[in-house]
Amino acid sequence: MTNRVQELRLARGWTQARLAEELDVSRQTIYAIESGRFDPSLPLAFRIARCFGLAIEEVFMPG
Amino acid sequence: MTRISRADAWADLRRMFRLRSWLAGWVVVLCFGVAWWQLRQPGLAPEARLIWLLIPLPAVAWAVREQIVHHRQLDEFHRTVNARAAEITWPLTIGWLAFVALLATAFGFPVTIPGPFGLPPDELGWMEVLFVPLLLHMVTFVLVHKRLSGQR
Repeated sequence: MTNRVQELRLARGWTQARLAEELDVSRQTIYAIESGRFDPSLPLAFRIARCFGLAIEEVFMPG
Repeated sequence: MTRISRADAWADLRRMFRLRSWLAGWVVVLCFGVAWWQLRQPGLAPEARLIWLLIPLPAVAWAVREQIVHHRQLDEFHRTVNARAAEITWPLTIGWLAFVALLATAFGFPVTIPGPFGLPPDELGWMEVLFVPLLLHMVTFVLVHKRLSGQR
């Protein structure tokens, strides 16, 4: 699975720590998701999409 | 490659580490150690023997409770790391204990495992039985964490 988390985060000028705080997860989670090493669960993926104000399929794409 | 700030590194550590869970683990090791030491004393009364046998139980119960609390506080990434580390370490731990049991069967109890740090086998050799699985888990956790997160 690929994602646009880093692109969307940088577009908002947020740090990984800021996004992690918004989502109530660790900064390492954000790094692992952005680098494609870790696929988030469906609830977290929805939270990430909601955080950016987008639909889940606009943030996560099948790799 | 961007360097993470010291504040972020501390925040990462605070999320992963919980002092009470860590302390509870060491209290269990201490209780087992003291109980083991006491049970080796010759001429120990049966009542005292029973008490020393039961002493580690509340410590284990407390440690389990603290671990559950800690696990619930982790985010899903760290739960995944823990689960993957456990997938590797449990078979290794069981293998290690089975090997010790085999040695014990072959050579009788207690197995004269050489003690750590050059200590005589009859004194602290069993500590290795406890510490090897602990060490296995720690090393595996670090390796799995590095592989999943790229350690950043």
